[in-house]
Amino acid sequence: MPEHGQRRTGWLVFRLSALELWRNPLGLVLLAVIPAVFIGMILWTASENSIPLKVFFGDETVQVLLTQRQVGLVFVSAAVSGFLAAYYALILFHNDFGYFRFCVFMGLSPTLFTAARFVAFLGVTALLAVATTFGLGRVTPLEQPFTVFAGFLLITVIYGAYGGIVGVLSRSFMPALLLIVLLADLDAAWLQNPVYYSAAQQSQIIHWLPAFYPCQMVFSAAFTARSNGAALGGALVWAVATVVLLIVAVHWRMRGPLSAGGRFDQ
Amino acid sequence: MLVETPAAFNKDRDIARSVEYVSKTMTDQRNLIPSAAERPPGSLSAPGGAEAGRPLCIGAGVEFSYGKHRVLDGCDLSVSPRQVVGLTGENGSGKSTLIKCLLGFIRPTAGQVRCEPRVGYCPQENYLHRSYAVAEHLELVGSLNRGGEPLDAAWLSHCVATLKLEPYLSYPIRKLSGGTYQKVKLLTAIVHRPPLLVLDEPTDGFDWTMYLVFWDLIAELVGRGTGVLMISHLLHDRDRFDRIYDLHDGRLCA
Repeated sequence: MPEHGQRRTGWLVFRLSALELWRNPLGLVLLAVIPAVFIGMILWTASENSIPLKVFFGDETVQVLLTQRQVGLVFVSAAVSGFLAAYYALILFHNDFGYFRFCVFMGLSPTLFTAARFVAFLGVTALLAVATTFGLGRVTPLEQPFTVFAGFLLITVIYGAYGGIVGVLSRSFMPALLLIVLLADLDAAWLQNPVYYSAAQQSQIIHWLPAFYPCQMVFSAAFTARSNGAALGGALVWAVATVVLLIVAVHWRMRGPLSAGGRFDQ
Repeated sequence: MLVETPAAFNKDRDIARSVEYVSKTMTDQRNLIPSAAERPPGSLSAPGGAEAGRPLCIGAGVEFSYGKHRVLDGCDLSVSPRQVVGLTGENGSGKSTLIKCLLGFIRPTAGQVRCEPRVGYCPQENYLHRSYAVAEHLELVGSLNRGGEPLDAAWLSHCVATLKLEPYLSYPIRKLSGGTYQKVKLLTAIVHRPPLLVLDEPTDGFDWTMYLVFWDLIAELVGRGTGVLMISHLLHDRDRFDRIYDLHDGRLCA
């Protein structure tokens, strides 16, 4: 149990982390604009024609018939959630990281820093998942809204942790952002497209990507009444693994306290 | 924890002998200082409690190279309580590297270093968080518990007033001028009134009045027992220093 002074410091780091996100005007604009643009394009362009799709349920694959609009809305919501979570985590774990390394030199515990920062990050991902589920529910009927929310939450945790890892390890912002865009684009915004996945020749490779299980969880919960333990289990494994990797990366960069020869501007 | 040294120790003695003594006595012979979280609470009773004669920071035969380029070549240096030690040298002579060796940020290729763990450090880099207000930054660094001692609010208020930072407390750090930014960095280093203060070009951007205020603050801290090691290109007031080391070709001349 942390002592009073540590609890106060932890609360301060958490509060300041939330303020950082609030004070990031570009982040706030992206939070509103990206979902609006993508979902608006789906509503504008997608048809009501039906498409047969495969949904992964572990040992079996179930085929469902959905409209192009339904598919597009759910798929795009998942991709947008993943990218935004990764972007916000990048801000939290990359920008001004040298400042926190100085704070570690001053006495801040790296574990306390990671925990407080991560709780702030989880708050953002939870809000993102609630907003995505609520918004999606307004434009298309959802069979299991709570499980859809859980799926979005896991996507945001996995991609957020990925964004955090890239942010911690990268020295400059732009390459880190490009790495995030690359994976989010390749995985969540392309290969996890259920239309692409259903007809893919090598679907096993797609199974190994981080967004696969949470996306299948969202699709199965949105369009069927069945529970999908395999997708939930796979998504939880990915979430735990990426979060653990994030914690390791933060500690590695904080070690010593300084791995960068005592420079605090890196 | 600082280790007892022979009572007769003084700055003029061969520093290598002292270091040898310290190294024999230390239970944990690490070259790197532990992070503050690992440091034992109360490792030194109080700034004022640091007795004269016990060096707060010792470097003996410190060597360091960047690849084939030898930057430090057998540097001997010590800082005792109530002492103001200057470190001068040309650009790129290795002053900051020597300090980073002393503080444990980089490992010397040879030699030994030992520093008081509770050190206030003002680095050359601009590291402050751009999104935070000055007051938020001070609240965070003030909460960082060094050696188990709570922050002295009266001391903090005194420093804020002396450095004329009250009007800037609600300012975002990214909007501060160069001189004010430097003042916040200085305040961060002294906020816990550390026994050892290491300052790397601390007066950059100060106007003359603030330069004098800076020296008043240093005198106040030194009066309470703090030992100061300060890098500067321009040591106008040589009489303010108890000792000045000049770093030239990797070697220190006192």
